[in-house]
Amino acid sequence: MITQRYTSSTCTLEVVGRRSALSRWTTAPVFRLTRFRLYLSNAGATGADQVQIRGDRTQLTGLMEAVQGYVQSRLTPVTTAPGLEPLPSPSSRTAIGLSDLATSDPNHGEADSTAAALGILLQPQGLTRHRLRLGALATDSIGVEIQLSTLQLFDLTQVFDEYEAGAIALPPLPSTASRRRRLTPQIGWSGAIAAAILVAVGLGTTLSQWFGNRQFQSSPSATSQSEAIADSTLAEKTAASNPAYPFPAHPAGEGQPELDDAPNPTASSAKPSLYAASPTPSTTPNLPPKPSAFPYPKTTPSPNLSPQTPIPPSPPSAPSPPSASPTPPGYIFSP
Amino acid sequence: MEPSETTQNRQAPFSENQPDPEQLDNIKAQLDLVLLALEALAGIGSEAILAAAKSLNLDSLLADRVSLWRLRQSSPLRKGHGRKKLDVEEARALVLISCQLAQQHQTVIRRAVALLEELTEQNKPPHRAALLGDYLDNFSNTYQDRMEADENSSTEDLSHLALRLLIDLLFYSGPGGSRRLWVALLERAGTGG
Repeated sequence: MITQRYTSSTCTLEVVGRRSALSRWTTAPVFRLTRFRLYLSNAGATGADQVQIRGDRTQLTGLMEAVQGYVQSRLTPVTTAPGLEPLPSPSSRTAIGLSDLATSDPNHGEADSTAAALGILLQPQGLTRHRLRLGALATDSIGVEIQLSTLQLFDLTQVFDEYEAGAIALPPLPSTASRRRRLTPQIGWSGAIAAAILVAVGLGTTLSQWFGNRQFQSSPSATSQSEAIADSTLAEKTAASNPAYPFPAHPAGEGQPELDDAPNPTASSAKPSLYAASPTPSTTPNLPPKPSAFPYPKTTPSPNLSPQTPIPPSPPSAPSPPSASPTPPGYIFSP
Repeated sequence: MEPSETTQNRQAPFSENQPDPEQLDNIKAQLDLVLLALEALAGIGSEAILAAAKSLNLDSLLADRVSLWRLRQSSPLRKGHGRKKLDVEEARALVLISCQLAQQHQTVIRRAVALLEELTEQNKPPHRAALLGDYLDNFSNTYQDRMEADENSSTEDLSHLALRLLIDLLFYSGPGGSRRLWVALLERAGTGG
């Protein structure tokens, strides 16, 4: 088991994972998050010194969606400026091609998000306080909700940002109709190839029986070979990636649920996670992820563009928060 | 990855869908306000903005005080705002510069937010803390100096705007800050509070 910690002033995120079967397709080992613990200082409604939230990767995905979406939704819109005429809202999104980014805001119409499915929700309480409804993360000891200050909320986004930047995030296993639709082309190809091979093997076996030639009766090994081919094809196609995702910094096994572990029941209605929306589980850490739908039109190459944080790129000279401890290089850590 | 490939891939989704000019004007107004908040809180001036541009290799877009002034003066909120249209590259540059400056001044931003939380908790006005009082005064004075007078806006409105921008600065000062600011500009420019 591998444990990673991300720390900011008032909270610590601890993620625990283990080696994934995806490692066979990569030059570096891939680890899959199995559980997380989040320690928040002075966040309890009862004034407890520390609150500990724990859960699995689906719940972490939901919590991250809720927090990041809420923070994004709370940023000051242009229309707040006195005297400034608001724009028609539809154009502000569709004209820029940000439909995928809209999933970052679970509090604004994303009723089928992982956060919504888990009942995780943030609500403002005045200008500086925030109520985090824990939903599926609620326990008897911490209750159904906790209060967060703005600084605590910021620290939470810090550790989530650091975690995202250092992880290749495999999403929770999909099972919704929309996710199936998205996966259909990839699985369809590999499935068709696997089916064709199986048919060929079956036909060969039948013919061998028909002609009494026992040398053809090797279906077990042939079947395992076809499975290997099917897996390989699936991995290659997944590695080719879906360029429609807005966050290429976290290559994830969007199309590889078969290679992952069993689905978490709580993810049954989950949609693809924003934080796991990237394409390449077989990418090595040394290879920059393939840029995809990216909200910055870039007309000239810039040496400052960081493949890990492309929206927008951070300057190379920008200091990292001193308190954060990102994932060390050399690992691919999948939540 | 080759830079040319990066450029090509990143241009692709925008080759057909560019923000319309009106939207860019609104984005420009918001970026001008973010910089104004930084000025009012941390006392940064043109030199700091130009230095940040240079450190980000964006000095081709912001080479000197005149180009910076013209860029900021294009905000529709500004008195006698210029006709210069903000293009996407300039907007992107201002996002990166603003967030770099916010990151550089994260300590004072965090201290100001902590004071705001504390005073709000105690039901005391933010002016009670010197740091916040100076910030609000600086913000209001500079805003009234530079922006067109709006009959509907009061000092209280300006203070509220300043405090919201202060909290925004905190979130722009983190590692994902520039992404947040960019998405906020594009996605929420017309959605209201």
